[in-house]
Amino acid sequence: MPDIVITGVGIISAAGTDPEQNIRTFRGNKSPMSRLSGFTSALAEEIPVCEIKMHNNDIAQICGLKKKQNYSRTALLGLYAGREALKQAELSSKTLENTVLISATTVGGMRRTEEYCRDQYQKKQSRLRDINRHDPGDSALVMADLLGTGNIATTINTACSSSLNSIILGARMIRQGLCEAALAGGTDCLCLFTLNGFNSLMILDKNGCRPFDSTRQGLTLGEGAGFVVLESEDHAAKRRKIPLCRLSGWGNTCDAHHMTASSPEGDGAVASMNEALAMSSLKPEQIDYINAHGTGTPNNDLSEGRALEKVFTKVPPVSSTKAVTGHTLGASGGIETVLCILSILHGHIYPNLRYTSPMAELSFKPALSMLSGQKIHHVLTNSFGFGGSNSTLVLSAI
Amino acid sequence: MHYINGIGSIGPQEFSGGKYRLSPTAPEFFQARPIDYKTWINPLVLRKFSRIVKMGTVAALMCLKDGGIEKPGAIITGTALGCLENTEGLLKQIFENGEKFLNPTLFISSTHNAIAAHIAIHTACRGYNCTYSQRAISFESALLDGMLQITEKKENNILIGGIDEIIPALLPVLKNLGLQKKKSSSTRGSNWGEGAVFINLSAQKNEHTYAQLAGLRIVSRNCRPDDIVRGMLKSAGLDQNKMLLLTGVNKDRENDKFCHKLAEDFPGSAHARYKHLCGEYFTAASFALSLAASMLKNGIQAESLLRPGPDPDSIMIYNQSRNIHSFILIRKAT
Repeated sequence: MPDIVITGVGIISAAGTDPEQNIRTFRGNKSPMSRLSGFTSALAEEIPVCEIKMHNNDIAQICGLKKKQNYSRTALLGLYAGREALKQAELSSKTLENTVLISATTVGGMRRTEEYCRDQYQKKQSRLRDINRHDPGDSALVMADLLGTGNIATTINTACSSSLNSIILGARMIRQGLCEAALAGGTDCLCLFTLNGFNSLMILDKNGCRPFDSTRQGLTLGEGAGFVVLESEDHAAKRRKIPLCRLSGWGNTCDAHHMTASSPEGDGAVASMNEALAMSSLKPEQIDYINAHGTGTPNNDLSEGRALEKVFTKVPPVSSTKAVTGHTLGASGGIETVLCILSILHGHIYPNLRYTSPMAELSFKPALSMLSGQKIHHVLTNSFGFGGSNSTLVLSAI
Repeated sequence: MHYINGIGSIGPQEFSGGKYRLSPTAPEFFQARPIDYKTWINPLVLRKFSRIVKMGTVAALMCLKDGGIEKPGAIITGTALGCLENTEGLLKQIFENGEKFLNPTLFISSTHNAIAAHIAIHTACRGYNCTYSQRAISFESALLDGMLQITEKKENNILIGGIDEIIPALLPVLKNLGLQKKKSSSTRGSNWGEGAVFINLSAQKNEHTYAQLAGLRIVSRNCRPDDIVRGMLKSAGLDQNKMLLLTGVNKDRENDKFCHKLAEDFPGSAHARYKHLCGEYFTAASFALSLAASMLKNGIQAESLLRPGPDPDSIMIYNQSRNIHSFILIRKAT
């Protein structure tokens, strides 16, 4: 089986519109959390979000499109990050023609669907162009069309684990010879649907999420996109492209426990991490940094924390980056994979913001400030979603 | 090798005892036939399920029973529009209640992977679980993933399903988008449908085997469908004159052009259609695959034939939507 490497990354989050800006935000130990301003919501006053303060038209313009266009914000964010990843990977036009695009999103065009529904509710004339991009698949089609990937374009929606699964599928398709390269990741934007949905579950923290803190009350929603370019090590070597890192293992398991809650003992998460470690032929003690799913909900952090203690006799430096980027749902795995790659390349460990008080149930504490000058060989990242969906990647230095 | 070793199907056509009992009708839209869900799932659990979750979960359970399997190795679903009933329900509450007093259950079961998750809970399957949502190739994406799982020797007995539902609010949208046929148009649109179809994909042939899956191609650009069909037949070592073409003819003129052209390119093959049985919907290819597999096992059903031909040893399922083409090839299991 050929080894899979990553040769390009693209990221856009509330923490920044490129890797450097994102790193700077983390280094500043500050969260870009703010009051919601992109659309009107009754919750805007009480619930903070991690929002990208850019209008759709501005994102479009940066992507070389006409300012006025009809794409969903989800598609535009994906386009932005996908474009950056492809730029860095420098694939030949022949390879691009054979590249698959595997996107992930949970909301798709929901933000526009909401405008359609609001118009209907207010008995105004609703516009078809607000609903014809509703489905998750639309954004992948827009991206493939505008970025020129000529092979299959498809979309995964397994809730919050979506984009780790898209990266896993990309790697598997390369290994089976179905494509030369894969542009894989995820994209999601803030919208009324998820804001109200999570609020109805009473798991949005009004003071901003506090992952792994004993006083944590829930998550903070964010938006953004993260994409990577995958290819086989041989393919990169043949075109003399130095990879950024190796994708050395992955896991995907299901809790089969409950629709929204993770199993209290974290069994599915343990299985997913063990699967990824076994595939990478690494011992747990070889992992230098863990980017946890760490949403800040009471259930996730306890379940994931217990799972980490089961897999790692001594838990290595761990942090959740969601206090800074917010929980970007279907994009979170893509964004966090890019952050992990940057951690390998620059030797840093991200801070777990807003942590003050340890959880009595756990023996480890997350990293509290940006640690630089570290030797990071192997990183593990988790994403867990509704429906008990657990996914893990292990990324390694070249 | 990939074998189809079980089928479960809930939709406009009745599937029982390993066969479709076809009754072609011509409704404005094709609704799934009612099923006694209580015989499959505890009524207390069932109460919390939306219609699509019921259809999907029970079709998956039927498929397991049909294939003599208790617990699948993995669950992979495709749904283009997902859990519409719950999605619309939550949107309605958001606007009607001014973002207050929302029912959390609506949100929990609005995610596209809700069906795959419920099947996992119901079968205690902790293996690989994934859901695809890519418009007309949502099911084909799931099938591709399942085939990879078996080739990788990672999982066996994989439940692969295509599920989409119609809700009343969808119909005017489909009409306005030109997808659902208006009475006034003889050229544009189709009669929409819905359904939940699962297959059990396995690495081994057994007494439950319907057919062997011999190839899958998804092409997202201008292509010569006839070349792709020839290429797939060649790599599978199959004779085009013993192939049945099962195409997604749906009364939309632009779509049907592709299908009829392909049939003209293979004059020695029989040509059949299926969307007059299940309606047009984004995951209708799952119905086509189950129909094709049951016909290879039990004989061709005349209700589907547009052009008769020799008794086939393989069936090529061809669908097209906005210039994205999919080809699923199955053959008699030997």
